[in-house]
Amino acid sequence: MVRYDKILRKSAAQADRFAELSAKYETLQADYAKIKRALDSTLHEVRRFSGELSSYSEHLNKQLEAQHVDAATRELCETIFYTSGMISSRLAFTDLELNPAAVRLQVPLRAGIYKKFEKAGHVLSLKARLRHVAIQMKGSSFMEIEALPSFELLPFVLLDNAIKYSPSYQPITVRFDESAHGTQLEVCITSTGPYLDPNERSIVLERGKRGRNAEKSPITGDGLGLYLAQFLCGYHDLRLRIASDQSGIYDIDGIPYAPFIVRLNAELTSS
Amino acid sequence: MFITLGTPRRLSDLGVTLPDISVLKRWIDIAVLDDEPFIRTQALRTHGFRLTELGGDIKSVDQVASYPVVICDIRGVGRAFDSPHEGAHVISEIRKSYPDKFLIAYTGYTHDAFFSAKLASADASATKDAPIDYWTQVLELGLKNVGDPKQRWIRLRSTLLERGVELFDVLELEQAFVKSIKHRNSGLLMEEAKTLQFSSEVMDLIVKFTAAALVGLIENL
Repeated sequence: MVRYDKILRKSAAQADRFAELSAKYETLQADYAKIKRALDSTLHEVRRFSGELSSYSEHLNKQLEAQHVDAATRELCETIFYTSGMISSRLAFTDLELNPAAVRLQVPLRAGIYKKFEKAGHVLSLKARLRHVAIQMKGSSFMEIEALPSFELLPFVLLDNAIKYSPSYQPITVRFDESAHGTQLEVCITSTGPYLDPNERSIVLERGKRGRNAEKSPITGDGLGLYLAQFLCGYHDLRLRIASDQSGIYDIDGIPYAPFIVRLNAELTSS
Repeated sequence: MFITLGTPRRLSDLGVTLPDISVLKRWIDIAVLDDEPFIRTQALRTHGFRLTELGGDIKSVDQVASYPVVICDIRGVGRAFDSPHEGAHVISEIRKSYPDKFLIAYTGYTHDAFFSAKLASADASATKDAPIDYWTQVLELGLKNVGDPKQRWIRLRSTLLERGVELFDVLELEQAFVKSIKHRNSGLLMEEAKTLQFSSEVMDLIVKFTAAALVGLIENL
């Protein structure tokens, strides 16, 4: 026997559920449109300001070249100029994340890897000094790769991370080992940071993820640095490896610290 | 009956050496379409580029006829075209009439997949805050493209084929193009075009290419 009353009740409940989901969908659509509008106008304006900032700081640097100013002022002005470039690189990264198709129209630039690290070190030198951390560059390299505008961010986030997690008065070493014919390069960044367990190595490369000991430490972070680095390495055919040196673990305020080693490998392919 | 005599001239027979970038900078004009002042104008002029700001109120693509390289903002440009895609639409319209130009989309919306889908006609893009190094590299790439007669012809040739022009007619035109460059006579291409049966749309493309590209190439190479 068919229970029509039961079927009707079920159908009415489904209709109610459908109406509820439709209302939710419309709310989400409206929220999405609102967020997109805000994101569009914010990115547009930030880009405009970033362009103006880099243009004005470029002018300022040029004017200072002709004048006698103290080294500290000159360094500060250069840092402002380079930092404005980092805003641009960061926004270029957002383009890659939100719209990978945008890459088709970007013109790759020749970028010297050593020079990019040198520049990132320059931008971060003030921050490093304030944290009593010294960045030492060892070796050299003339290797150049075809790089997207966001590439500048890669050495920046790696060094920024190293400074951020390093205890005071610990060195950060950036060593460049280039093969005899200049076709292979390994950049090895050695710093000190909260110990990273081997099974967490791939996890911390994901967006928003940090190591267990980094989370326990008082150092705050959004888990973005290594994610950005890994993403950019993927776009530029670079290999990124990270590890803590288990043989050098020691405690700071109950948190295990160890030498943290980042290895970046680049290889020029004949094409 | 199908008779051809002689050896076809190849594009590689053009025998033109691409001038240095400093020479290209001196003779190639670059148009900027932007409803706001273009922030990089001064710096790029200091680098030797010949930039002209035409504003954002473009009413016809022929306004950029004499500029082989065009930088076009995406928002606030070409309202007269009445398209929701604004500058992206202007770029695609310029491409239709002048396939040999190097078009650079200049936008603050590169994160938006909607706009990049509309930018298929552009050759390159730059963001509003792109560093000067990027701009110089993009413009140098553009100058090398438009300063090279072979590249410019190939761009027009692809468009002619896309619009259904017979392969043999394109070959005849190509012969006339090579001859025009070698004899430094832009009229030879037009003379050949007139002997072939082309639609007014195709003829318009060739007329524009001759006037805007070929004459300039012959004068400056």
